[in-house]
Amino acid sequence: MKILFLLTIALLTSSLLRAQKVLIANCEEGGGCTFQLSNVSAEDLGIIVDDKDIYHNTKNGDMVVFGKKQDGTEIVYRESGKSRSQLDREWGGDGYTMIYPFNPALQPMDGKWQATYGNVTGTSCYVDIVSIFKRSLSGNAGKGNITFQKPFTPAQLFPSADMKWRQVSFSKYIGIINFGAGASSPMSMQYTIHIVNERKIESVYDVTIRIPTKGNCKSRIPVTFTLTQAQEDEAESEYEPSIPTDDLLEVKPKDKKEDLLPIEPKSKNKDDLLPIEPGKKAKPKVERIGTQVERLED
Amino acid sequence: MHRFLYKTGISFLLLFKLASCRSQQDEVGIPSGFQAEQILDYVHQPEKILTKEMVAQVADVDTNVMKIVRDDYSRNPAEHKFSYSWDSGKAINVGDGKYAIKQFYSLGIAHVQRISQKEFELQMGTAAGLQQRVNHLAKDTMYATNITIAEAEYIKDYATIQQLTEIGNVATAAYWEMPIQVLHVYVEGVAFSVTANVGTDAAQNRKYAIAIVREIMNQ
Repeated sequence: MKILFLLTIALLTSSLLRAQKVLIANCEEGGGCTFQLSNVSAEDLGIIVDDKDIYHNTKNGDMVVFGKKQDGTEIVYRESGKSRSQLDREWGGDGYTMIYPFNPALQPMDGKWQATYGNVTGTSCYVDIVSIFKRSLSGNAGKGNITFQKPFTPAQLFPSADMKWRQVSFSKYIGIINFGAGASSPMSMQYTIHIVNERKIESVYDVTIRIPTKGNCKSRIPVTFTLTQAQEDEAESEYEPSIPTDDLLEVKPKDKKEDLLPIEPKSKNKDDLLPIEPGKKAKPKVERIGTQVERLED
Repeated sequence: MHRFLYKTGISFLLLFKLASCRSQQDEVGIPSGFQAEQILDYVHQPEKILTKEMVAQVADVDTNVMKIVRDDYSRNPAEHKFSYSWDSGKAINVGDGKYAIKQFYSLGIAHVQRISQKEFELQMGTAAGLQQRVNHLAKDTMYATNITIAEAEYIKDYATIQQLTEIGNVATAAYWEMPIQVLHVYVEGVAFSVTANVGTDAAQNRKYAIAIVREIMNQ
């Protein structure tokens, strides 16, 4: 009985530990690592990234590494027994680490972006979704100015409170939305976003329509976002130094030596003020308007 | 007999010269005319404090293969870090041998700030520096509570293994921190840290860090 009790406690503790949020290390060859707290448990993360080792063996103190190699290859693995500093140095970092609320290496630039729809593919079915998408989307492009939130959030590319986002690798997010009642809803969509670099984002919509007695219709719509003009480039190319306007009179310097006009007082004693009457304040000299004013005729 | 004494004397002289050379390598004086304030002028342009050419000189590496790594995401400039990294030509296995990645080396500068020597010594000699970091995190609204707690726990654990060794004859004051292998330097009201990741030999990394300080101060 006692053994059973202890075993139950051990199992409960084990599952509680595994339900804790895991530390994610985003590491780049030659760039070291930055760290984030995952918003899911180790088990869930193992399912999301399809890694049995992460699912079964992650324990307290382990890290899940989302690594990116110089050639663009992305790897995912569980790291156990190393400190954050050791892991950072292993990937070429300086040993200093801290937990960020985001992956600071993923921040697309602000500016003019162009969205280009790629070749739509999928299964032909009763509704021929693929043809509909092909006609309306393939090869189309749209463009506009985008100011990305800092830090970057994939939700900005598909603002829906119902979309559930997960980071699945160094630079990839997957969002899933069911239009209707959960997994049995008639339509669902998975939106995969891959931040290739700060000037390019590749994304894919995977749409599934469930038609009773007809099976599922699936279609895949790739969309590539490309930065055509960064906000910094805009500032450089359109910048024209403007001459500030103000209420001051224009200054015309005679030579480069000084900008001051020569002062030529009429006399030492004269100025624009009327002679001062004792006991009274000085009055400015103002020319009187001529007294002869033509009367307006009715 | 005379020959023996002569040879012994020459040997001692050579050993003495070698020792003094090594000693000079580990020393960094403050050059006349050096103005520490100039380091602060470039706190937002660390590539002007630590140039590629300096790293090339110290590490004997081509500037063309260097990659700039900038960590200036924190809202506190005193937490910013900057380094140059380059491919060592070797590979290491990660993920229990599942993957191989390139091994990169790096040399860098971090935590440039204006500070008094008293404050600097306090941070180096006690846990005050780490406590300051925790206090700053708690105040910064960028970090959610769970991050602040996790980071504070990490700092608390790190405090138990942190070792700071005073290094004499480097600038005004200097401390070598293990296990992260960073050299903290103070000179004329300015403090900065030099990071060194050129292999796993900590003693060698310390020499690299001191050499970088020499390059910065003789710029």
